[in-house]
Order: sequence, then structure tokens, then C-alpha cells
Amino acid sequence: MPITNDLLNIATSGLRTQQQLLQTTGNNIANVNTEGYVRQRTVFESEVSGGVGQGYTNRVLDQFALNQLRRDTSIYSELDAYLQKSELLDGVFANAETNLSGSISQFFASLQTAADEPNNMAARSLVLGEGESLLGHFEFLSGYMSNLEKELNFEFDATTERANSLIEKISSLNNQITLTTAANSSGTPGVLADQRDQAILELSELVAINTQNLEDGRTLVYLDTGQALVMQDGTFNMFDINGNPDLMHKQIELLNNSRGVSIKLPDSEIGGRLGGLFTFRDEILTQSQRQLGQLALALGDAVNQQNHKGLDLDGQLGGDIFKLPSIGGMEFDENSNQNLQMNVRVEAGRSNEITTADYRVTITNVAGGPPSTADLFVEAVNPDGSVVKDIDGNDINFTYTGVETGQGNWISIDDGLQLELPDGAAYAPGDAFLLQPTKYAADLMNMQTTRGEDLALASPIIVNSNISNLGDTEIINSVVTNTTIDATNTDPETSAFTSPAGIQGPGAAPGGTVGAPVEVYFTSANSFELRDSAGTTIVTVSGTNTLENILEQGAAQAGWPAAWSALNDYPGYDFSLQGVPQAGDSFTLSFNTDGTDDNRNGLLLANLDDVDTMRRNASAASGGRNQFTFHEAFSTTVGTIGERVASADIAFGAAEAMQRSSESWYESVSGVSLDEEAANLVRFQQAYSASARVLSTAQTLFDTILSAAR
Amino acid sequence: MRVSTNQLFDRSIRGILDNQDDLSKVQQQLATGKRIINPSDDPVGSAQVIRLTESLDELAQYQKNNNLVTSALEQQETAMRNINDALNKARQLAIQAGNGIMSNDDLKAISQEIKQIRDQVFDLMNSQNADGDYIFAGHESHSPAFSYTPGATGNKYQFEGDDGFNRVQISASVNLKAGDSGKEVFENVLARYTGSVSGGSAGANLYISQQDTFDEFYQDNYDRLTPANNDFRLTVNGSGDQITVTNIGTGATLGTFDYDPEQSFVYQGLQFDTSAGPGQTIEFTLDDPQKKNIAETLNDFFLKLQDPDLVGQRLDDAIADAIVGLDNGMDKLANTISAVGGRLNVAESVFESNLDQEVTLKTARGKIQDVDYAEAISELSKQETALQAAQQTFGRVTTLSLFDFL
Repeated sequence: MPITNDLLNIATSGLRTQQQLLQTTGNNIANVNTEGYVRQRTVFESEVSGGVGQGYTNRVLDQFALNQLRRDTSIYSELDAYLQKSELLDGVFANAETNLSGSISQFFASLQTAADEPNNMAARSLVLGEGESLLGHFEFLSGYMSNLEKELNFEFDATTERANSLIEKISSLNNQITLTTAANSSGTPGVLADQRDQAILELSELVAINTQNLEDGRTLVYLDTGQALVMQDGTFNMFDINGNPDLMHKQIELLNNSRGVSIKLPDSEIGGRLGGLFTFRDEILTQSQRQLGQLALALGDAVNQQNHKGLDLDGQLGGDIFKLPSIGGMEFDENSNQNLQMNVRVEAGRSNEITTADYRVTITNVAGGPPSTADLFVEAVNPDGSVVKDIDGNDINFTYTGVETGQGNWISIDDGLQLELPDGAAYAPGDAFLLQPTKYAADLMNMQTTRGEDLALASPIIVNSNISNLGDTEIINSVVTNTTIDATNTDPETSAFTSPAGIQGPGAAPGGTVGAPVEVYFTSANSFELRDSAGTTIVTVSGTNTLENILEQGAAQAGWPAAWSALNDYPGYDFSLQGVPQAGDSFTLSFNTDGTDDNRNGLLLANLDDVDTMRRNASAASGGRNQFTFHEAFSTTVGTIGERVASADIAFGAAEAMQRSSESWYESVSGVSLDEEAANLVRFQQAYSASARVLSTAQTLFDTILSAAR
Repeated sequence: MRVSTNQLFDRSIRGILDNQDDLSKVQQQLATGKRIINPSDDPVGSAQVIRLTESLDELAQYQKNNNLVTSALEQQETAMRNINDALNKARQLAIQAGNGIMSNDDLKAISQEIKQIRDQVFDLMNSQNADGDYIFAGHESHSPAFSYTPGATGNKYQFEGDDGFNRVQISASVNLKAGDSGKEVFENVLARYTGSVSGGSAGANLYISQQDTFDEFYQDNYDRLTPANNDFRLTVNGSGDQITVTNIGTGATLGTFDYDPEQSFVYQGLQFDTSAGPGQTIEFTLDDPQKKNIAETLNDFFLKLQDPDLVGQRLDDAIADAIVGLDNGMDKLANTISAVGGRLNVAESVFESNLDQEVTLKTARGKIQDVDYAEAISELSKQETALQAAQQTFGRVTTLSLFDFL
């Protein structure tokens, strides 16, 4: 074997090897700032015949570190998205300028001021001004949240689109990698793998994923919940988003393109940024929207109802101050006809029963009529479509049979609502509607009146003592509970009030005989007669030991007209006395025609913010412990948001630390260190010089032999 | 552990960013003076702050209400005190008129003074507040509480308002009556109880010689429901030396007493001048109780004093009417004045306790939401130092490169 030839070969292979090593080092240095770049290393084996053999350039990668990084990135971006969005709400609800609680206080304070001086027009106008600014405040918050909802929907669209393009990219890179690996035996194609891993990492920011590496170089991607995204045969599943029937309430679906099958995914379990956005929507936004709506409706209705029980400055019974909206229901896609309608509104006076739930109304039967009727099945549902459970864990639903359909027929149902089915007999069994009485309600309220005179601060009745009374009895209070006017006395809510302003006399009152009780005449200190306006005795109460609620005592007597007992609340007023009356004393109740300097109803109006007027939760019936005040309701909403944000903040801190540590692990393995490369540069350069020296030595040897042979 | 170049930069930058975030949070706390910037900083605390702020807003309104009700009650009290003073003067004049040495001209002079007092009282009964509302008119305060119709039969001073009164909320649990209706204060005043001869076979003159005794008898026996029970019959017995009293309505015998036809006799404060013989009867009745407002009482007295024939028994009756009416009126006034005073006391003590509560609530709210400056400032300088350190190490660490030595 010719030694010089061997030495030349060895030197050449050494030079080539060092060159390749220097190239890899150079590449590492050049890519130090390239995102997704994994540092490379070239390894060689020595040849049996001497010299260095074929080198392999590989990526330095720890698969466990990479998997950990992906998982932690998903969790991090999920909490990041959740926190970012909820902090927006947190800030808006807390800000002193935007604090709704302040507006509510101001409104009721202005009512107090007006009640202090019922004749003061400026104070009355201020109440309506404050009312308008309160509505403005409701609108602002509600509008802010619906904008947030719209933005979220755009973000869902953009995010899924991005996820889809990443899935596509991963799949096509997988294919290229398989082809290149098959054609090239010297290590994996680094650039392609880097790009694919970067795409997977980016995808893990959007949704929580798992991966599986195959022999041929492919990486399969699955959702954390199990469904495949990038499959072995290269096809992939797309996210599709729609809302049925609430278009604003987006949902997420997996669509298999080749097979055309779609699978609904649990929104908030999807993880990643997308999961974070869904969780925010489902846990915070939808609840807050409905709670705000409930608050607006309850406040509006409570003020309206109390105003109804008073007398305004024009001497008329009070009307509505706020205008409560009626809201159109949404049709499910499966309905027999997509042009059907159903409307919902809060029934006046029952706002203390309304909840934050949505309602799914299914028509189970339709009868042509006339009048056309329908059977309804109503379920209380959560924003995500699941049925609300009561405290015992049973579904909350109601059934109504034979309700009259058609425009203007408002059907009272449970939970303080009324339904209208304007399309008569056009419904078909199985048609369903989603009703959202509270979601946008805060945005839809208006002022019914802007005239200060319409504020009913006075009470519609006045009780006067007879001047010839000899006892020391005095009137301590009078209450009005019902002012519903119905000239025909057929409405079960009918009260003794008449239009034009007055109280039903003999003949006009239900039953047609005696008139409504307007006089109490004492026949002894503990017995009295109730008389109508003509002086006819209606009932006699004897042996009573209290003078409280005089009319209620009368209503308990046998002689009380049956037609009155049949009504819900007749006559709709009552009064209490105190002291010891003497026989012959009398008190007369009359319509408060001229008593404008009267704040009795005003005080009750101003007191509403201290009264439990709202239903706390949908799972239990309204009333008792399940009631709270406006301020309690609002502070609960704020508190809930704050609580969620606070706990998300802690979780986010933990996720951030985890993400950092796994990133650090990954970087520590796969990141380029310039110092290391500098050392390598020197090392390989030296080796290169040495190899070159070997070459020149071989040449010298050859020259020596040549010259010896000459 | 192997540290890559990117890691080195990332770590240093992150350190700086984290420090800046913390610093800005402390800075924001110091700038606003509030510990809770967002509800999430302290969810429970911020819900409490909302409720405390609501309570404070309410207290502020209660204090406003309190000022209002206090000034209304003070005005009412002043008016009533002035009326009381005027009535005292009138009462002195009435007593003066009855001292027996008054000539007709003297009585005329007194009557003029009474007239002026009447007008003053009437004016005060129609007192108006700053808004022009009549404070004693009840709910109907836009028109005068009392009217004067000189030509009216019956009472010439009439109450025109109603029994209504407003309440003003001065704390969560206390609301105060902001005024009293003139009906209760001035109108609901009993006139002197009287009795009169209503029949019988013998003639008799009757006048009340002992009003107190008669008032007692009247209150015990007056029956509003059965007018016949208010009629009594005095029957002289056969021997003419005893009288038996029976109630005509019930037939009950009330008593028997000795009788001397030569002398007038007094039964239950009623003095009878009669010469009834044996078997003869005298019937008398208790007149229905009358209510007269104080202006009316003064007016009656004034009109009677104008009469030149007002002498003897009629003068006495007129003076008695006036004095009893004024006394009853002043009783009512005194009651109302003390009730108003009581309410003013309540208003004042509630005002004080509201102030105390305000301080307590503010302290509680401050504890929850206000920043502890000492703590925040030391936190600020701590964060500042940390940031400086992070920035300085950034420069140190990142400038180290092996390439510099090649």
C-alpha cells in the first residue's frame, strides 16, 4: 500500500470533515436568532481503512422537553387569553366613573330629595335626569359587553382560521419530510423539521394538543380531548364555528373534510388561547351580561310598580317611568319554517321572579282554532344550552297546555315572564325558540316619561278624621297595594280605583250592590262598621283589639262581599289607626284630589334600593332567602368577576413559571450558545490546520521520495 | 446547565419587564391612593367597598333630609310658640274683662285688642314656608290652611286642608313626621261643655256655676249614639222638699237630694233658679260637644264684647267660653310643641349618630381600599432597586462574549 496515497486520502477526509464541522458551526451561529431553529451537530465515525467516514448532521433535540414546552404553552396561552379578557371587564366594572352602583345610589338619592319636597319641580326633573343617566350607564356596560362578545366572535374566527392554516402546514411539512428522509440518508432534513415543530408549537398556543412521532419522520397531532387534527394519511380536520340558534354564541366543531362528518367539541375544554376565550365567555361574560340585564329589568319594574301605586302631580294615578323591552326569541335551524316569531317580556310586577337563565320553548302541539292554541314545553337553560337544575338536581321545566296564540296574546308563564306567539296557527309541533329575556335587556330599556309631573310621589288616598270625633285616635298610616282600573270589574286584579280619578261608589263596585269601603264608624272603642260612600254599612267588626289594617279586618268578616274576596287584591288600599276611639267617631277615606304636598309614595319609591327586590338564583323559587337588593346584586356581579380574575391571576402566575421553566429546559438543550460555537470554531479551525499540515507532510514525503529517485 | 445565548437575553429581559410591571402597580397605588385598583386585587374587599360606599351615599342623603326636616320643624315650632304667646295675652284680657269693674268702653277697648290677636293668630295659622307652602294645611299645602268667611252661619274660620302629613327619612330605620296638620293643632279643640233647659212643667234658669264638676258629669253621661240618653228630668216630690233626678232615655234614677223652693240649687255644677212646686218637673239636656278653632273662639269673644248689652250672666258665659276655648287650644298647642321638640331632639341625636356612623364607615372603607403609604413607598423603593439591579446585570451579562477574546 502506497503510504503517501493513504496519507493524502486521510488528510483530504480530515479536511473535508473539519470543513463540514465548521459549516455546521457557521450555520448555528448564523441561525442564532432564527425562531424555531434547533441547534445542529455533525457526527463522524472513523473509517477502518483510515480517515474519517461519512458525517451525519442532526438536530439536538429532547423530545420530552419539547412535549413539556407544548403542554405548558397551551396552559399559559389559555390563562393569558382568559386573564386578558376578564381584566377588561374587571376594570370597567370597578372604575369609579363607570361604577353602576354609584348611579343607582344617585338615582335613589334624587328620589329622596324629591320626596322631601314633593312640590319642587326641579327636584322632580332631577329624578328623571338621574334615571336617564342610570339607563345610560346600563347601556354603556351592556354595550361594552356586547362589543366584547362581537370582538370575541371575530377572534374565534381568526383563531380557528389560524389553527386551520397551521394544521394544513404541519400536514404538508410532514409529507415533505417523509419524501426527503426517504431520498436522503444523511440525517433528518433539519429545516423542514424545524418549521414543522415551530408550527406545532404555534398550534399549541391556540389549542391544547398531544403529538405522536412516527418512524418515517411524521408527527401526528391530536387535540387534548382525543380528536385527531393531523392524521397519518395526511388529511386533517378543520374547526368550524357556528351558533344555533344564537348566532352570537359561537360553538366549536371538528369537521372531517374527507368524510364530511362534524363533531361538536366542548368549548371550554379545548385549551389553549381558544379555550381561554371560550372559558371567559362561558364563565364570565355571558353571566355578567344576564346579571346586568336582570338588574336593569328588576329595577325598572320595581320603580314602575311603586309609581303605579301613587298619584302624580297632575292628580292622576302614576304610570310607567321606565319602558321595559319585549325581546324577540331566536328560531332553531331545525324549525319547520324560518319566519316564525316568538316574543318574551317581563310581566309587570313580577320582576322579582326573573332569573338570569335563558329559556328554550318547544311547541309540542298546535290546534287550529279559532282561537288557535298551542301546548308549550319550556326549559330554563344555561348559555351553553344545558338545562338548569334545581336544588335537588332535577331539570327545571314547565308545561303549558292550550295557551292562546296570536298577536297581542301575552301568556304569563313561570319565572315572571310573558310569551307572545304572534304567528297564530302557523307553528308546527317540534318548533323551538331560544328566549333570552335578560342578555341584552340592559341595553334596551328606555324612559317612558321625561315629565317630572309624572313622578307619583303622593298617595292616591287620604284618610281624614271627622272633626267631631271625641276619642284621641289618630291615623298612623295608609297603604296602597293595587291601583288596577277596570270599569267592567272582570280583571282579577281590579281595584276600587276608578277613572276619572275616584273610588268606586255603590253600584260601580264588584257585586253591584255596596260601594268600596270609604268610612270607618266606631260604635264602641273596639267595634266599628265599614261603610261605603253612601253610608251603607258593609260589615261590622266587633271586639277587635287592634286598629291596624282596618279594611283587612273587615275583609275577614262574614259579610264581606263575595265578589270582592274573589278578586286578588280588593279594594287595594288599607289604613291603620292608633289610640282609643269613642263611640260615634269616624274616619273617612277619599281620593287624594288636592294633596300635592304628599310624599307617602315618594318615600316608598326612594326606599326601593333597600328592599329585597331581586331573585338571587334560578335554582330555587323566588322569595325569602333567595332575594337580594339592587346593590347586593351588583356587588355580587363585581365580586364574582373579581374573584374569577384573582384566581385566574394566581393560576396564570403558576402557568407562566411552568412555561418559563420548560422553555428554559428546551432552550438549554436546543438553543445555540455563541460561546460554545466560538470555542468550536477555534477547535475545528485548529483541526483544519492540522489536517492541512498532514496534507503538506504527505506532499513533502512524496517530494522526498521523488528527489531520492532522481 | 447549558445556557444558550437566547436564554441569557430572554432571562435578563424578562427580569426587567417583571420588575417594571410590579413597579407600575405600586406606582398606580400611590398615585390613586387606593390599594384596590381592580376588583380582582381583592374581590371580597371590593364588594364590601361597593356596599360601604352605598351606605355612605345613603347617610349623606339622610343628613340632607335631616337638615330639611329640622328647619321645617323649627319653623313650625316658632309659629306655634308665637300663637301660644298671643293666646296667653288673650287669656289675660279675658280675665281682665271679667273683673267686674269694666265699663262698656273698657270692654270695647279689650275687644279691639282681641281682634288684633285674632288676626295675628289667623295669620300664623296660615304660615308659609320658603317655597310658599302653607305649613299647617296637610297635603293640600298649595292653598291656605284656614279660610275666613265673615258672613258664614256657623264657624267663620274654617279649616281647608286635610289630615295628611309627610314623613322624612333621616336614617335607615327612623323617619320623622315633618309637620302637623292644622286640623289637629288648631281645629280639633273642644269648646266649653254646656247644658240647657229643654222642658218640664216648671220654669227654670240654668247656668254653669262649677264648670269642673259639670265637665265630669258631662263626660260620664254624654251619649253620642242615643241622643235621648242626654236628657234628664228633675222631679220635685209630693211634699216639695226633695228632687229626684232621672235619665229620660234610660229611665235610670241618678239620685235624690233635698230641695228648698226659696233657694236656687246646684246639681252637678249646674245652678238652677226655679220655684218649682210639688210634683213639678224640670228637664235639661247636655248640649252636643262643639269644636272650635282658636281663631273662631277669639272671633266669638270679639263679637260678643261688641254687644253693648253684654252684662251679668251673658258676660260671664262669654268669658267662660273664651277662657275654656283658649285653655283647650293652648293644651293642644303645648302637646304639639312638645311633640315637635321631641322630634327635633330625635333629629339631632340621629344626626349625631349618623355622623358617628359616617366616620366608622369611612374608616372601614379606608382600611379596605386605601393604600398604606409607608408600606407602598417602601415597596416602591424595593421595586426600584430590583429594577436597577436587573438593568445593570443585563449590561454585564450580555456583553460577555468569547468572540471578544478571539
